[in-house]
Amino acid sequence: MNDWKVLLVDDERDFALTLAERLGMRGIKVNTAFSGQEALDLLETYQPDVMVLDLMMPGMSGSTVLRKVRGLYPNIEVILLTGLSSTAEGASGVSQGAFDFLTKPLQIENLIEKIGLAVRKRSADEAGQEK
Amino acid sequence: MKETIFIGKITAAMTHEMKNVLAIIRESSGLAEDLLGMCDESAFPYKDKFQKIMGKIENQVIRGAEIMAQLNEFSHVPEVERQSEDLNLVLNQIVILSKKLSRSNAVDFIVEQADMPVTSNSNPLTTRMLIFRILEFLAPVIGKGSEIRLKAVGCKIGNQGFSVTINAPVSNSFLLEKILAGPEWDALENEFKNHGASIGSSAGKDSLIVNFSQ
Repeated sequence: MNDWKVLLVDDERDFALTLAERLGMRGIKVNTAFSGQEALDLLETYQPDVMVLDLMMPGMSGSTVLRKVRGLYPNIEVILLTGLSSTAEGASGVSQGAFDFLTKPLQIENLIEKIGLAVRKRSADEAGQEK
Repeated sequence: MKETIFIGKITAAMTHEMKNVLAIIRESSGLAEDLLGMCDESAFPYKDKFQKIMGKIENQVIRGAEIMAQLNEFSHVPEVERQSEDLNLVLNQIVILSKKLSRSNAVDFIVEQADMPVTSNSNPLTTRMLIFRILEFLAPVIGKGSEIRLKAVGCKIGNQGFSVTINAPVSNSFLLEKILAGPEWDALENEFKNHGASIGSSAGKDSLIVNFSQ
């Protein structure tokens, strides 16, 4: 778990910072961004294994960020966060290339499990590319 | 209709905000619990009490999240005139959103899941309004500690509805007889009729049957 690098993107600062601290306490290296643009700027110098991305953000929406990330950094797996009860938007994100989605308020154990699965998929994909 | 859509839009946006509020509460409480977990019992004598408090916060987050989830779905109901939907889920939604009504009358609302989906094609807002209406009508008159059990029923093609069974200290048939003879029953029957639905007692006279027109 110590090698996992995560970028957490959410405009709710208190949520992002507290969740980042909790993930950090569990040995996961976490960086935070509070807008879609900030996340894209950060990706120019920092490449995480997994991006945890809120869908409903002011300015650049999570869907737009997802599209750009899939185009520019196809190796980064994206887990979407949605505050909406309907799973339709999360499912639509998955059809656009997100690894999976979670609904807020989330259980940290579920998030860690999904991050782990996403890291494993990334490793498998990379191993496949090398062959 | 524009007015109800407007109320729905505001409600939907606010349920989204509330989910963020609940997420921050859960993470903050979770962080406090993480830190508490690192504390030695002797260094912090109130550790047990704090952990119990965190448990209560978590339970309230779960409760709030369930209400917000149902309220969010409910807020989108006025946007569609007709919609095919499972009455089991609709009954469940209204029961969750009527918890205040059940608590203030000291009665329980229970949904008995039907074995299979019962698809309704009625106006979704009217369907919900009539389900709430029957709960609102019965809750104050059936007596404290009673139960109202709702079950979706596919009566015949194009005619779906639900049954309402009351579990009260007095016998069901006696209670129903009293309710049906009451002065407000006719008004309720007319209200259902005006919305293209019907309400009446079952053949065995031990429960009420509501039918929605399609």
